[in-house]
Amino acid sequence: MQLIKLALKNIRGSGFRSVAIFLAMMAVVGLLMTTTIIIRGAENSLDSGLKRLGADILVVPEGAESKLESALLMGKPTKIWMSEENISVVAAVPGVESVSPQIYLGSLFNAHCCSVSEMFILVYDPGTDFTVTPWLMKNFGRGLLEGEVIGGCYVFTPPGDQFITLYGYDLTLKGNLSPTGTGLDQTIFMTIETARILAASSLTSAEEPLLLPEGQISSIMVKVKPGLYVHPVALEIFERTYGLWPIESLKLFGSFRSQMNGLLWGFFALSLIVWLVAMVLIGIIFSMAANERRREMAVLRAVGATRNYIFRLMLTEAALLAISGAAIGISVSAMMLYNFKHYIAGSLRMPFLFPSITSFMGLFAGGIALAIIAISLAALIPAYRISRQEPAIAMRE
Amino acid sequence: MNKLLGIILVVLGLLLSILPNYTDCASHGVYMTVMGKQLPMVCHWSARAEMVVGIPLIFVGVIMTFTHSKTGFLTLSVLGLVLGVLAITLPLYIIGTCSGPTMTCNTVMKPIILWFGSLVVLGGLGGFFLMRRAKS
Repeated sequence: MQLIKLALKNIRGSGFRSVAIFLAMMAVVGLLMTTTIIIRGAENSLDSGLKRLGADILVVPEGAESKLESALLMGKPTKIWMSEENISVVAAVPGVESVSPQIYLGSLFNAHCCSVSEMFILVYDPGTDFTVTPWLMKNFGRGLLEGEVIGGCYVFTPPGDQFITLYGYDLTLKGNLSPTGTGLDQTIFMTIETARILAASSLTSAEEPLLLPEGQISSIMVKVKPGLYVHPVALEIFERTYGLWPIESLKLFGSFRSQMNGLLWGFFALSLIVWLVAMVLIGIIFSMAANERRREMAVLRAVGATRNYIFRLMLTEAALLAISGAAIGISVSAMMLYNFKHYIAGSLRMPFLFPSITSFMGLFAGGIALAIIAISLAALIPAYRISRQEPAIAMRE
Repeated sequence: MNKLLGIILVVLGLLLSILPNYTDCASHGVYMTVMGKQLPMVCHWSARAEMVVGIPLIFVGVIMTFTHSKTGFLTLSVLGLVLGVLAITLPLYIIGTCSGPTMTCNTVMKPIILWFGSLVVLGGLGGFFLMRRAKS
């Protein structure tokens, strides 16, 4: 305790130097944490999006993979069509446990008949669906009725209205799914019956009719039998079908992931370089400080402090500055990221979901530990040198 | 310390008065929806109301810079604290912002106000407690 009290007094005594080291730690640790949280947030978001889909394999027409990825990632409507006869073909592939078709539609852009502009609409078959039906059963105990929809977390009924109007037809928003940070947060989910009513109504009440081609679907969600590997089943689907492309869910968003990884790990590498440079500079500062404080340390030795005590005193000062700077830096960077998360995701055009509390606490502890280790290494040599000096010689100089 | 805190409050007052008006949703107080309905854009009025908080804060900061009296400084710190709390509560509770979480007022304007308002509150609290401990 005495050691900590003396270290705190020494920190207060060398105000400018301590503030400089504190600010340097705050900035460097804050920068490193920001890039780490953005990377983890992007990964979290993609994982949540994949969990929301619930499928092991997504089957789409060949050539439509990138359209599907951008629709699911950014929530922009897309048009993908294939024959619904493919459902039975895919269901018959060995290893496939269940299949469910989906149709992708979109609301009109800036039209009077749609109260939400350019929204991605996902139509599912309630009889076979495993994407949203489990959530509906858990929260409402039933599926969606005619005219009811659920939305991602960013879908809401326009203020002052009771319904969401699509193609001139009023729909009731039953609830919102939890956030994923992907385009699924801006998606409306409805049953095929509701979509058919919408299409029929749009012929007389919409600026443009909603086209729902008979016998056509956009994609097939596939669940693989438990215990089987997904890849061989995907290969079987590819070999037994014509003109279809199976995408394993773990490889979904693959091109996006590699672009994102390149960008984010680049940021991370830059942060590490900044970190290393900062540690070198802090080491130089400690070395200069140790030189200035030779007489002070010699006096301490003269009144009975051991070499080990002097060594621990210097490292304690460094550790206290590291802990305080890192704690403030991590807290400030996390709060800024949390407050500006929508802006960051929109500007970087990438999904982002803030890590959970447990995950964040782990990052916090890791950041503090890294800061203590780094600054202790920076202060190690100056602390050792000053603890080994001869007090009499130091006091004479 | 008076001068430093005063200057900080002046800068924060300027930022709170000006920035929200450039970061609210693109509107002039009323938004025409695609359905032809007119809706009041609450975020615009929150941004305007921030001027009512920011301008007095600038005056508080200026007076604080030149005050030599301990009592005066304490009073101004409390006033700064109250203005900071008001700045935060305007977009959160009193007037509010738009409902869409991805709209500019929620992604940019509200976080900016929360941050600067919090700094004003911290400045007011810090000034109050530091001056109480200091000799006259």
